[in-house]
Amino acid sequence: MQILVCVKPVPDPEKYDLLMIDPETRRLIREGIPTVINPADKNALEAALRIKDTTEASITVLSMAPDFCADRIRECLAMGADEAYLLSDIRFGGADTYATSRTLMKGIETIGLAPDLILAGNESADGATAHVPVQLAEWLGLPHIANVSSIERDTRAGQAPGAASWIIHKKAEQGHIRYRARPPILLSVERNSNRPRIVSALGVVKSKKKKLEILRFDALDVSSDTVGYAGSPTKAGALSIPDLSRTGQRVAGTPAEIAAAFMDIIKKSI
Amino acid sequence: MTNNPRKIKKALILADVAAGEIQQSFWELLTKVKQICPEAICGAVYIGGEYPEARETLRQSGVDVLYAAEDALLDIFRPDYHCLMLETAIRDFDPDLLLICATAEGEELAPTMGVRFRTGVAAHCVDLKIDEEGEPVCLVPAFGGKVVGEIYIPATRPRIATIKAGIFSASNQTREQKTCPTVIPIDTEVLKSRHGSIEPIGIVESAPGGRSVDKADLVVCGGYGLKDKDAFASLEKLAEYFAGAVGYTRPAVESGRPENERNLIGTSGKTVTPKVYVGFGVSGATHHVCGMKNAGTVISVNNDPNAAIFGMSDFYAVGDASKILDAMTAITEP
Ligand SMILES: Cc1cc2nc3c(=O)[nH]c(=O)nc-3n(C[C@H](O)[C@H](O)[C@H](O)COP(=O)(O)OP(=O)(O)OC[C@H]3O[C@@H](n4cnc5c(N)ncnc54)[C@H](O)[C@@H]3O)c2cc1C
Repeated sequence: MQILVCVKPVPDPEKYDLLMIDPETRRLIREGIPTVINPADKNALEAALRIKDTTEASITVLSMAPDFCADRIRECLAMGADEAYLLSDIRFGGADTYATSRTLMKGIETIGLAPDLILAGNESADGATAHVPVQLAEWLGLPHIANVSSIERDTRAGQAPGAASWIIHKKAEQGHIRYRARPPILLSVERNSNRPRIVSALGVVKSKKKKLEILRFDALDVSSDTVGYAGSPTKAGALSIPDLSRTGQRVAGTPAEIAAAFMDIIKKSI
Repeated sequence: MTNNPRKIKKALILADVAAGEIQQSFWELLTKVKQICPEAICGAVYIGGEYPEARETLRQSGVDVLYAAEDALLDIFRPDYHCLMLETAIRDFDPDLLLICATAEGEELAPTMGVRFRTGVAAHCVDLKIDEEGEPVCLVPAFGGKVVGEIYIPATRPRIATIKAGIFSASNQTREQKTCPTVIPIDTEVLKSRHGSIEPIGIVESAPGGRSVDKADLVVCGGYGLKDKDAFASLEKLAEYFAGAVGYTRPAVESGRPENERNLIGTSGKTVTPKVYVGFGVSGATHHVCGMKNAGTVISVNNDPNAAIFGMSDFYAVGDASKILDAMTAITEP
């Protein structure tokens, strides 16, 4: 079985409180915020690794990101993925979800992959649109299920191994919807839906010998008006950091006094 | 300026209807459309099981056009089926603007339409306006809500936007309607001949877990700093006294204290606008604040005098969250 996992390096979401906007250029200052693999993408990779733990499977990791993210991609190999491709080119920059998903599709075509399962984190921590996985499936003409919280093998008797189907749980408004799904299919995996494994020292050693190939613009069957900012139907305007400050008034005293004051405020305000 | 190519001539809303119940978000989106493009022809699409009452309410909601894909096959969300039905309505109506509520389903439908119609999608808009040049602009959060950016979709149609429930306010005026459109049925027969590779086999409902924070005037929120085992029961008591609801932060959910994560507040949960929000042991992290920043009055308790939440509060106390909570529930007892 071939599994493709799409990952995105993002600024560490634990540190978003540190983000600032340069007053002159109006650009985002990310200084001091390290790059990490998007949390939900690690859950997607873990889901793939768990399948590989019990079945014959190969895992390819695919990412569109600048060269400096190669180390983060290697981390995925250290976790247990078999090979990785990084789509990196200055012309891919400024892409929205539409152009990103289309470039990923072109990458899959170029590599010549026909995965049975494509897994991706449900949303990235930075943009958090949850669009890219679903849109990638659409470009590939594959069915998709988003907000997936569990992937299990369908254990009904009499299933041919190759045609094996999956039981998928999708998080929905009132609980979970269960589906039976046949490959090939793309699943967007929920953050925190499993506990991603820790990279072992042996994993790191092994990862150095695994393939991590960088594919540039010229390697892909794309034109410059279909990638990056030029290929994006959405155009970004001004950025701002909303001012959320309120004139905090401290209420002091014993717990009973504070409680009485707060109860009063609530009563008056609702 | 009748030929202004930017002008929204037709707007379409995907009606958020859960098991026959029209959700508040539908009225919120409808109100927004009437505000920003009052002259536009406004359409709605219903996709789901057969609920004649819901269909009738939508027909009388103030929309000019109503599409309905009604079939037992659509009762449970199926990405392939629901996407096809929505696509059919869009092809027929040809809107300039498409608004979809950012539910788990809407978040899957919107990007799908983006690719099928080769157009842009703005996710989780916190506002939708028309700029000085008459161009619609979506304000979307990024980095957990720390940053807000403008998104334009200048060249392609429809412009698609998703909006979480509770972001816009609904006005009752939209419901006063003189002429009701006839329903345009969407052919569901095509679904019967499609043997898709996804088949729904059931719904697992989550534990009910108290009143929903969506409509509550008071939200009392438990953060990670509310460590007492019984504290969540005390929160319930306090909320109940004011007919309010209990919300929580992500770390509180992960600690397993609340029963389920239905009332998680923040980027990955709900956006609430109660008259009063009270946070107990909440630090004030971006991802959480994004979901409660528009509350009327914000009260917070934290034992760290430098907690970020204090700067975003109207009233605060430095102290132990459990102790102050218990003193508050004591007052509610006769
Ligand atoms: C991609 C992503 C999405 C996320 N989405 C969400 C989301 O939707 N909603 C959400 O809430 N979080 C979300 N988070 C997590 C978020 O970043 C913060 O970690 C979280 O909001 C912090 O919750 P907290 O305030 O309860 O916990 P903490 O940040 O751990 O704060 C606990 C607070 O309690 C105080 N405290 C400790 N003991 C006591 C005591 N005895 N009495 C009083 N105060 C005490 C501490 O001083 C501290 O300020 C997300 C994170 C990521 C990376």
